Amino acid sequence: VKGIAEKMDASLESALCRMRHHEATVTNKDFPGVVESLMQLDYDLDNIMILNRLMDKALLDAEFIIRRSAPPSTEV
Amino acid sequence: MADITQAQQEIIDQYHDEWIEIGMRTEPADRPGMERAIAALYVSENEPVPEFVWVQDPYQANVLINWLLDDAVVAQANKLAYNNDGVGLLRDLALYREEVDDLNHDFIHQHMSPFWGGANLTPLVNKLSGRRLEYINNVFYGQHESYWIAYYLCAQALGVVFDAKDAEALSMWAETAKMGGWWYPYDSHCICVERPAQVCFDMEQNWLHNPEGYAIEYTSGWGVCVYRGRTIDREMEWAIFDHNAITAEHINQEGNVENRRILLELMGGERYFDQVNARLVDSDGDNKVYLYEADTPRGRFQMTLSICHSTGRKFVEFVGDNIFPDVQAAQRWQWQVEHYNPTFQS
Repeated sequence: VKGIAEKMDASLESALCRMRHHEATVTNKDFPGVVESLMQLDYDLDNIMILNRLMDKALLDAEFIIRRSAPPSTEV
Repeated sequence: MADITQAQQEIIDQYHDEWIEIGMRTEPADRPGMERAIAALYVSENEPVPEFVWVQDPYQANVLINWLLDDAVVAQANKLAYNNDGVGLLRDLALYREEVDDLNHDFIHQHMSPFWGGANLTPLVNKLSGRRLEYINNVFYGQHESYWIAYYLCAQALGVVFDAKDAEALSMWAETAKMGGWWYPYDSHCICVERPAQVCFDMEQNWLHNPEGYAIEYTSGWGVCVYRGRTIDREMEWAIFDHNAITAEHINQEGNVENRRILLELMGGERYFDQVNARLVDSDGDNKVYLYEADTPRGRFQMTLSICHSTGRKFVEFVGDNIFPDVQAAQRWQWQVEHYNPTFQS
């Protein structure tokens, strides 16, 4: 049974790449006044990322990390 | 540079509040909504819609995945199930992987199924048992992805126009974040996790903090202890749940400085001073700072006691391996200054 997060992540990353570039260009050109506030929003929301980082760490401490470097699975 | 308009600031504030709320949300997941949102992402990747399996917390998801991945975990559960309760069993599963020696799938099915929120996983396990389930960082974080989703949605609301395909993808990801917790996508099945039942986040200090229990806790009872933003090791969790059980001996024997500081705060400086028979070396009454020292099996050490002028809260801090003659010297070392002479303390 094959995980497909990598495939989804690849699509997401390329979309994010385009959006990041587009957003930065448009914001700087058309909405320069909002740059600072938008960055603050980004900074504040990092708090949410902390949640998944901490839980990831807890799972990692429970030795699930072994699976992340496990040999490739046999695809069915 | 043009100033931000009030309307623009209101949009940013609205997205800020809305998506922090989504990220911290603790009510049960909208399961049909989550499944619809994930199914849409599968379809956009030309993958067939998977079967959905719901579990109560990320640990259960990992136990399940490991169970399906590795017979050793099954055997380990077999051994532990004899004398353990549900949550304890789940916690211990991963810790004794090496000690297992025999396999008994039926026994495990019988004893483990109730621990996945009453869900009957036997059909799934029968179907997947013997196959190997891939586990290489195969997870998305649902509501905890809100930090990047909010940013792009907000930019969109401010007037940035993305390509139609990217905007559609963004909208699908936003739906998964609104509906539930973590999810593990496989080509035939998707394991979805409920939202936490409790999140203790100190918005002023910007950190997770709960001095008396899990800072993030799921309905299953699994959680993570976090003290002022620092994850507490499983081996030290007992101290969070039972401050009275902490003794000076625990603190003196703790090798990690951060852990020692946390244990000391949880125990309370005065109790600690009593137990180690600390004696006063010097005091600065005006600033309410006191230098104490004690002799322990690990040698003599000193600590300062400071009392907050406004709240009366007491702070105890060790001064490393140093021995100072007076408060001033200890304070100079603590603040790394040549002269310690505060004009105002709060």
